[in-house]
Amino acid sequence: MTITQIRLRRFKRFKDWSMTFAQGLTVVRGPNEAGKTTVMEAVIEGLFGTPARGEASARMRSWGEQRLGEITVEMQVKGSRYLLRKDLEAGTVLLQSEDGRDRAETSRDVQKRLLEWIGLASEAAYRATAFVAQGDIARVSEDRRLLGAHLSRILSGAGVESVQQSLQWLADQRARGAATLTGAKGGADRIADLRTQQTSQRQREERAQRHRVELREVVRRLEEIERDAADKTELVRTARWAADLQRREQALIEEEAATKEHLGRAEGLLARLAKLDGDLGEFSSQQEALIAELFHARRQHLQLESNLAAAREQAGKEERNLEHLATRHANAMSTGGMGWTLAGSGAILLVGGGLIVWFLHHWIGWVLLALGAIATVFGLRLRARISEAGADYRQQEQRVLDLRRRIDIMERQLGEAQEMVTSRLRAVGGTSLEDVERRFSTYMDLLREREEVRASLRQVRGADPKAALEGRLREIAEELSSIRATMETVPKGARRSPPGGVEQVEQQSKQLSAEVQDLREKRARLEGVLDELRERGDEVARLEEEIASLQARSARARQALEILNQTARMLEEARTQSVYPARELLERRAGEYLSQATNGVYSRVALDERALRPQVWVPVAGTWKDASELSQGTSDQLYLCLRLALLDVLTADRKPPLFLDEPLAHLDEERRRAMLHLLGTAAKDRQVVLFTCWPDYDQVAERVVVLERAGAA
Amino acid sequence: MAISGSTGLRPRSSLTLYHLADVRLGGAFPFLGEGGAAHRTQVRETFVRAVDQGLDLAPSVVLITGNLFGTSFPPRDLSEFARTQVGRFAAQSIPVFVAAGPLDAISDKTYAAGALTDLERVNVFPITPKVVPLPELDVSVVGVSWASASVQPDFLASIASHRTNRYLVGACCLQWPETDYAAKPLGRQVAASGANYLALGGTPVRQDLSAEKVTAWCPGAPELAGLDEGEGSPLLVKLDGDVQVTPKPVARRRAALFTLQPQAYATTEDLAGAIRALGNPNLAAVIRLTGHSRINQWIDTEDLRERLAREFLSLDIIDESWPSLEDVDAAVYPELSVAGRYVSVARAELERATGDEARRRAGAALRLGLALLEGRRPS
Repeated sequence: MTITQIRLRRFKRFKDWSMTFAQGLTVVRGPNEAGKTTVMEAVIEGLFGTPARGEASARMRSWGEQRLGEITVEMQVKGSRYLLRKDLEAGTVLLQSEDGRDRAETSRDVQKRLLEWIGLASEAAYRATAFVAQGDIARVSEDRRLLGAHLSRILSGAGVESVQQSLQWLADQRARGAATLTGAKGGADRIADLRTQQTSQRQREERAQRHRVELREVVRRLEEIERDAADKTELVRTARWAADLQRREQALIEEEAATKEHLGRAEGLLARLAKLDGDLGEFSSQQEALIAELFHARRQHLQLESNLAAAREQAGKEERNLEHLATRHANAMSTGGMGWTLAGSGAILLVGGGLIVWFLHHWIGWVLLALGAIATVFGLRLRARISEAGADYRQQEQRVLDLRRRIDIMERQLGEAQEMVTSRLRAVGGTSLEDVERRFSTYMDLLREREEVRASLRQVRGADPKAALEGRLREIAEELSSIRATMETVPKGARRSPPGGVEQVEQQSKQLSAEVQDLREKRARLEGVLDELRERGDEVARLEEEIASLQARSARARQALEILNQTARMLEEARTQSVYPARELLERRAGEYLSQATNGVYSRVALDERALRPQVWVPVAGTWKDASELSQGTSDQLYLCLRLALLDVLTADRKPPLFLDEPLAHLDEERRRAMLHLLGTAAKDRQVVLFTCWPDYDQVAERVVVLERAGAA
Repeated sequence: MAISGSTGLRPRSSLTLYHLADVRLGGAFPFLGEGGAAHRTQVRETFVRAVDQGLDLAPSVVLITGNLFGTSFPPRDLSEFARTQVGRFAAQSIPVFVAAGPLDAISDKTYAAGALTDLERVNVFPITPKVVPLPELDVSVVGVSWASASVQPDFLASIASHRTNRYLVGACCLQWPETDYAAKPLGRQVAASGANYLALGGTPVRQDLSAEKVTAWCPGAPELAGLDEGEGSPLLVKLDGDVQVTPKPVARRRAALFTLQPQAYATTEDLAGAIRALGNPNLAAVIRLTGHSRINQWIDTEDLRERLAREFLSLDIIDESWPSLEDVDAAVYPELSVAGRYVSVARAELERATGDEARRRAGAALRLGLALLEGRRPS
């Protein structure tokens, strides 16, 4: 396929511009910013671009234009002329043969047709293979170790990624996939862990089921025993009740008899009481008062008699004492005359003695004074005894007189008391005090007996014994009737004590109660265990779901791993199938090109079979040298030769146009000439378009297109 | 939707049955993975709605067949929940009959009976057939629960001998026949039962097993229980001459299988958009990518699934597509390039592949390898 012409309308700096391409080498020359890169871009866009509005197309808009432009490419394919027009504004594409018979109107169809013509799989492959950009050479120049990698990418067929990189990516993904399958988080380990948990849960469920069965048996047994225990308890209760009723009946019967006896006794006592009341009725209350007055008067009379006797005895004693005092007074009177004598004598002695003493100061005076004093005192004392005796006598005399007056009063009172007794006796109709006393004693006996009878009655039953006893008898009769009616409702069997006695039944009932308690505890324990086991929520389901999720993920990962494995295997195989024959051809073609480019200095190229790392035979050194060991210029030449050889190898007889952007800038004059010669040779077989700033290539070009910096259109 | 059938017995007065089956309370939903827990809550809510609906419909009898529980050892709160809900029917004096399913494990290790013990008007059938006459409704209900093994096949045929009232209703959970051939004897048993209605359980999808004059239905699970295709819902059954069976859906969630052709989508994003358009948070979706795919169309299903899973209740994407040999144009790829050789190798693999799985794998490897070589490395 060759491009014969390209026309650009409203495409970036070109308003309406066209250029014609030679069959062989076309040089597009112009200074920087003259539009060389735009033309290269227009060729790619014209061939492979998809007209579409938006940001991508906007960058292709011509300066100052609102509308997008169009690209028209004319081509020669297998002797036929084709026109490819892309209206970027309308978004249409049309490829048709000159005669209009062969046409394609979609980008996809057009692209498919073009790739078929150029023998490459994609636009990227075309760019990588048939477009040698200035940047490629610059990158390879900077790091010549990339040369092999660059070639590998091109040889991969798409020119984007080397097979080695793809295989490395696949290896990484496989390792990751394998880790996913076996890893702890999502792989086999996790599934095994979950399975263990699931087994544990199932064991818990089985245990719970066993507990449930056991619990059911316990509940059944418990219900059975509770029923039995309840029956026995009821039996005992009924028997006890019946016994209680019977005891109560007996007690009531006994009480009825006792009450009847009491009632008899009470009736006797009441009769006696009535008689006593009759007897006591004879004593009127007035008589009773008179008798009381009589007894009172009698007691006063006796008291007065006693007092009078005592007073008379006292009066006798006092009269005898008076007589004694009278004698004493008479004696004092008889000795009173001697007293005056004695006192006068003493006074004379006192005067005599005083004078003696006063004048004579003789002792006899003192003696006379003492004797005179004594005689005087004694004499005066005798005179005083007369007065004392007289006073005592008159005092005693008055006392005797007083007693005699009192005795008179008492005798008069006694007489009045006697009169009173007599009158009261008359009033009560008694003949004598003894008769009255006898009658009163009888009366008091009756009163006492009546009180005793009343106390006995109170003891028998309250204040109203007969009514109370009769009421009680009625109550007893009613209660007996009720008890006997109730007894009729008790089953006959229950009226009798159960076989073995109530105690034995009670013992059995206690044993059953103990068993019930044990079973209840067991039930509570089992229910507790079951409750605990039932608290696990939806753990089992969750585990199953997580396992399923992990298994699905594992299955997907396994499937993906299988695809990755197969892809890697197929890619390895493809690389083997591609690189071995391609390498041989590439080495031969590159060697031929390098020989031309270096005027035969280097003519043998070898490529590493995996990384396509190139080596050159250096005759002078007699050894193979790596590209990195060559000079910069030789290395650039080698790269260009390899690119040309690769284009030959990949596209074989299809020979798509080769575009080169300033590929020889790094070469010296001699090498550039040699390379131009090489390109000229290459241009005999294929279309070559070279973009440059320099006029050096004009001489070998079939056609030179000069672009001006401004106003080129 | 009302579905009619004829019993031929012509009862004089009508009887209304509300038939629920395979509720699967507390069950595991492995197909939902980590979403299972949320779905268990949903199943509970759906059961409440089913009971609400049943109470609104005021049936004469409620029949619950199949797995009321999805586990033979439900936690306490679940059993209390079930007891409360079933008890609501009983509280309205509506008799309830439960014929347990295999997950209810109504053997000596029974749970279902225990959960519903002592509920008045609630009858859990034992593992041997039992007849419960309801003279006031003029109906006899004959049922049996699933023991450690499935219900004896001759149970259905034995129902006929228990007709003591005007209506005869049977209830049990069946081991559902997997093939039409296996279903034929079952059909004969159903026909021999002579029942006015057979309330069956055991499948999450609504099934009509009516045979001759006997109407027999399995309502299916009221809520999503599996990725089986088909509907399930409670049934309202009117026995009044012709038997009228009316599905009464209460659930929101469903499962669906979608088949997409990757070739119809230019890019993976277009395909993602098509799947996203199917998105429904109550939908458990399985997307099958079938047919042919282009060789440069690598679909990372895991990536798609992760990106779109939140649009669905659950999402599974299965890529069963592979590139057509006719579409593999080796001429496009330079013969001596690795890509060219790779296409040739893959083409050979595709031709050699004997089964769909190998073909799918080779096709996926072809698309992945080319994507890598062309710089379209998956993220």
